[in-house]
Amino acid sequence: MSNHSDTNSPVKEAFWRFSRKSPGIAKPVNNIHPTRFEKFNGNMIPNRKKEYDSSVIFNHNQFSSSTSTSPYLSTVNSQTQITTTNIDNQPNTNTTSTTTTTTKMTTSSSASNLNTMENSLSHLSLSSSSVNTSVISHSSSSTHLSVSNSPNSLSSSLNSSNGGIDTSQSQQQNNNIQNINSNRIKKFERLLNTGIHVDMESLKTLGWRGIPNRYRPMSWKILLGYLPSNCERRDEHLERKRKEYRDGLPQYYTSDEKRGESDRRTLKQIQMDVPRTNPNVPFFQQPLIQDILERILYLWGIRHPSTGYVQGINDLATPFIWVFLSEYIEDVANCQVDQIDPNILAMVEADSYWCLTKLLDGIQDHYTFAQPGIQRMLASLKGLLEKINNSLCAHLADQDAQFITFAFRWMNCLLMREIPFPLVIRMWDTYLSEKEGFSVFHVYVCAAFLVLWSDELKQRDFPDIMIFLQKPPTQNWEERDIESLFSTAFYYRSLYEEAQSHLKSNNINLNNNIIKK
Amino acid sequence: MPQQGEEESEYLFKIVIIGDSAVGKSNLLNRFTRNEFTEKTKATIGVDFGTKSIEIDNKIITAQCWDTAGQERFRAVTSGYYRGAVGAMIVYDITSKISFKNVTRWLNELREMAEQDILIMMVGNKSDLEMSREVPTKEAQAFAESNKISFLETSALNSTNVNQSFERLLTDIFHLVSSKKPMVVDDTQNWLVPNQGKKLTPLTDPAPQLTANTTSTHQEKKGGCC
Repeated sequence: MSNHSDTNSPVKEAFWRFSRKSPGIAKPVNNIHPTRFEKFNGNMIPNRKKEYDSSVIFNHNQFSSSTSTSPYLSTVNSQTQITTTNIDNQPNTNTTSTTTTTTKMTTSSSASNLNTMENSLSHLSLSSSSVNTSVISHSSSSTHLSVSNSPNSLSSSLNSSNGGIDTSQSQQQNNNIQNINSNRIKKFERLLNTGIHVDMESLKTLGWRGIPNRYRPMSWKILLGYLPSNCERRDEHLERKRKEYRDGLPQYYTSDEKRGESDRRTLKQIQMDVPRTNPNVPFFQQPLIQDILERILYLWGIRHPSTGYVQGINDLATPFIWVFLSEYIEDVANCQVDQIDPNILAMVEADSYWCLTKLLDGIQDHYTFAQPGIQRMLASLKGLLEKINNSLCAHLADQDAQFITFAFRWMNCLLMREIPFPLVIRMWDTYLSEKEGFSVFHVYVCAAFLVLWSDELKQRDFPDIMIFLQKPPTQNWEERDIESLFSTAFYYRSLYEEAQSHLKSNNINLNNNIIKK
Repeated sequence: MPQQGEEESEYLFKIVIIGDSAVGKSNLLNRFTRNEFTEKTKATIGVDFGTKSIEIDNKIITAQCWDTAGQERFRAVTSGYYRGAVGAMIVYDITSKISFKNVTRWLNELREMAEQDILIMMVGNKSDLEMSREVPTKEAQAFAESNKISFLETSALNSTNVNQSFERLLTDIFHLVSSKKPMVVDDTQNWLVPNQGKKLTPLTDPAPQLTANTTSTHQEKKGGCC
């Protein structure tokens, strides 16, 4: 892909601002780091036909319309104005306003159309033939972008003007955000606690944009398939699984003499890793939590001999313990674990074990010999980056900074080492709501993550690239940064999913090549 | 081409730090490159990286240290990290007999995966934990002598011998390099050993400036990169 010479084109810029900040994909992420987005202008837009690009806009717009009740509107600051009307039959969310000095977007549509869109959300595809671009025009002082979809008679427009910030809207905006949040909570309440059957697709659609704390434990369990979606059988099921876990524990408590050599090694490795798991999160330094983690990891390790315990799995177990405890304890971060009812801890432990098992079932080849799953993802990431930002890819190659060197950990620990722990939990809301979140979508997230630092990386030589990527500046990240990252990842996937599909299969040759290296 | 901030660096040596899990590899690296020590360092996944320049015989030597993961499962994937390494530091924990026993395995791994003439230093870390010592110094000393590798006991916690061990390894490499005649040191800082036709040090930006011979070796190794 060539370098884009039209970096400064107002159309392209307006398009990019729109597509990146569109509430559709990222949920309106407004930019607290303006410069971070500016730098995308040149590199991220693939060199494609305008029609194609605008169909992307359109799709995003669809998405944005249908998802306007997202609580992440709270992340929009007063610089952006998005006026969305007639959404979702939610009176309180019919109008959502924020302001920007440069962009004003108005989306209107009939509710029926939007409902259709919500249903087809997971099938967003660029190849959709029903999308037509009718007008793209711009002038030096303003950009007006209008896209219409003839079958659905939906039209959207994007206006870029120099409108000032309307301070009177700030209050209204806050109110709207509150309404949206409470609506969102209501939606989860309705979905999870009424009727006997939870609709998985709805849960995934809702969960993708983040799950409210109080519904997270149950949602995760359902999304992972640990808890049946039919609530009538849940209690019985939970009881049985918890008992099954308890019954397995004597394997852990057996004497060292009875343990085989390999089990002894496993236990020793786990005992070395548990104390240094999430060392910066005090909660995980509490002895009872470390005991729980040790048992979970050991039992999982000996019950999955083809994989065994692999470093990094310890990281993956931690969100479960945290989230499942939050079902019973309000302030997990500051709780004294030794004062919690042991029965609660036992339930949390069993649930965490089973959910870790479910998670790892889906990505087991990330940890088997030679870790083919991870190598596939690395190859996939490289292929993606070549398309998204070839100049960055070339620079990395030029500096001999290989993906296996800097991105291996990203795959092995699912970016948990790079992202602050509370945000990892937010990330998992989306990953769990994806079909193959931890293997396929994660690669797009990694690509977005890498491209995020494109400017910094291009100025660095090999050692500095390595040192930078070892500790990327994410310490002060907030939820909006994660959503922005997901927005970009979603966008990449909508563009490149088909091209990447060959990498999903177990491409052994590819793996062998990497091993030979 | 001299890299920014490294104008004076005349040699660049890649060193891999290997050894069992939790023997203190990352803390040795951090102590050496940043003079830092963290009691609870997250287990290294893949590779961690650090550089430091020191002066030997009035020459500036930059060490490019690759701190690897200790767990066996990672070896199949990460053995590529040895490419171009001229030095290896095998670390064991003086309070763990098994980590010392496994030094032999790491030596074999190096013989299999690394450059033939890689220089090896064995380091017994955690010398501050004398009370829990399981590996007598004399035993380790004898092992090092029989395997013709350097040896020091270190403590990343209190800094004992950390710099010395890296310096000794780097000095050994430097002397080995200096003794190889004729040695080509081109103005791009790439030094080559023509009679072997291979690049001993991976430089920050190797590909463009290398001789044809070296380049081909480089590319050959690079093939199939992920």
